[in-house]
Amino acid sequence: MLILILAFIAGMLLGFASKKEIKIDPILSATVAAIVFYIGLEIGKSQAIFNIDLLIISLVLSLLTIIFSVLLAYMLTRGGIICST
Amino acid sequence: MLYIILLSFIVGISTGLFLEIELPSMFIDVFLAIMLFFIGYDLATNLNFKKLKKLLLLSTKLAVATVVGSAIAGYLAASLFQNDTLALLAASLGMGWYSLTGALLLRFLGSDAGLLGFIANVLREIFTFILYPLFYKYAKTAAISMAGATSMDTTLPLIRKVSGREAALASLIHGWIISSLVPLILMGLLTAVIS
Repeated sequence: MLILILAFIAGMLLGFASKKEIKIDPILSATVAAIVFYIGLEIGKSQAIFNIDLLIISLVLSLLTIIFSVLLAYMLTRGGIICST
Repeated sequence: MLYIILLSFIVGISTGLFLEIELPSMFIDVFLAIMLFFIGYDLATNLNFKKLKKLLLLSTKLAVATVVGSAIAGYLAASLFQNDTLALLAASLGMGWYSLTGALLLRFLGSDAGLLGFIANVLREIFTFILYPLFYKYAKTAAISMAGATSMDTTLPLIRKVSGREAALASLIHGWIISSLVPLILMGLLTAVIS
């Protein structure tokens, strides 16, 4: 856990210091693919993909997060101050 | 990107189901560290203080709503399904960042929580692509909150197209704030509860 926090902070500090933009998309794509593969591997091994209840909970949870986030944002910004198209 | 994720996920599941492969637990830590390093670097280099100042207030309000709304949704889902509150809260606080949330929940709470964190956040991104135009019609820029961390990358082109340039800038700042908060919130939450 500490390594992850340090990696994130180190990246931010280096970014602030250098201000030199680099193309991180290929790196991100590769790391995301590796991470998603690992998640899939562990899920496959545990047979969790056949857990229909879990899939239903995920669906409801994602919809609830969207609804509550937008509802609160609407209350805080009163519809937002920017309406340009 | 979505194809790469889907393909990796399907290959991973198939490998796990049909082959007996054991990867060291360090595998995921290394890739998470690399990803977090470059995301931190990218966030810092793209920071433009003039633009940031202009839309900071709106974006901060949106970010607060995103975090609080996601937390409320997590608690509500936990009481609705009588399920593991920590897993549901952590999954909802992933705020669309499926790779990080899925990996962290898998690492600290097990494979069921990992799947929940991954799927719930992938669905949040997919629903954003489908529902953003409709939500924007009624909630205007408040609809940016639904995208969570993805409002600075994958869903940004959609937000720009539907809501205009200034909203896109607010979306970028909102996404930056959320992306900075997600690792800290999730790691803080999991560390505090587990230790």
